[in-house]
Amino acid sequence: MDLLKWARMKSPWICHFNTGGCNACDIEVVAVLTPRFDVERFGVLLKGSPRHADVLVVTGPVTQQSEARLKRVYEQMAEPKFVLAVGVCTCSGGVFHGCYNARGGVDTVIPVDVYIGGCPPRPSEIIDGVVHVLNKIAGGGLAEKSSVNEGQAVQ
Amino acid sequence: MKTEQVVERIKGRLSGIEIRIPRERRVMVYTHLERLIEVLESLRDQGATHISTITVVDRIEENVFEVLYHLYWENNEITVRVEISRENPVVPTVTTILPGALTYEREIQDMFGIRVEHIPNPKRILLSDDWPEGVYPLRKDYAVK
Repeated sequence: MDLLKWARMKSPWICHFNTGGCNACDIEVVAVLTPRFDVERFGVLLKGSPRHADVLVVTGPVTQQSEARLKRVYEQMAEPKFVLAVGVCTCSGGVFHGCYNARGGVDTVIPVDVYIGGCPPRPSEIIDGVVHVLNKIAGGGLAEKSSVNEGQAVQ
Repeated sequence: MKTEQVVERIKGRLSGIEIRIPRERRVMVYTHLERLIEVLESLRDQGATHISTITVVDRIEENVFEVLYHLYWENNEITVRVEISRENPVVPTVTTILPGALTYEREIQDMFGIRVEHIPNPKRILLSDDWPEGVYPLRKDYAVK
């Protein structure tokens, strides 16, 4: 494995952006970052700036107000970049679909690599999504079955 | 305070006001636009100093907006209801009586296009910056895409 890819796989830094969600997914994302679920074992660190991040973690439906800002945050990230959509609202608009100020899912604005459903998704599901992103960074596409979801590895 | 006492107190200060009590601790005060300030002032002076929210019912068939001022007064929910014309929806500001009403007045300006006269801060509060003028999303005739 070449060195760059190895480095990227071992340090997928994330930037978290709420595009207008209800905060439930954000709480789960924060839970994932704490020692109980501990995605730092994959090298995941939460960064304050999109310029430092490899993975953009988006929660919430895209609202009219946040659309331009989401685009801008995405464009500030350095290549190669990945987008992780957390929660059903982020994937499709969810219960906000058709709301006067909602644009729909994040993929109407920026390309999404991994979708995680749920309202909110369990931390174990988010970890599964992280592993999918790692597989994508490794260039192997999406894993058929990630090691995390086999058995009850995370509870 | 008991609901009957609340009604007694309201009636003691204001004459010719229609009051309905749908259930315990819930009081509906029906009034007209001209008397709105007087009614709210009287309620405030007696202790109903907390405004919970202002809501609007768009009764499009009758061409009427009904504006509801929800006050909290010693375990009772008092709702002061006013009907205004849908063609020229204007209400006076009640921030002179209840300063906390400002947020809700700005909200009904955004959502229903009801003009609040002499509002201290008429800036947009909830809609996005690029929202078109003259489009009010909570009106019944707003078409959701």
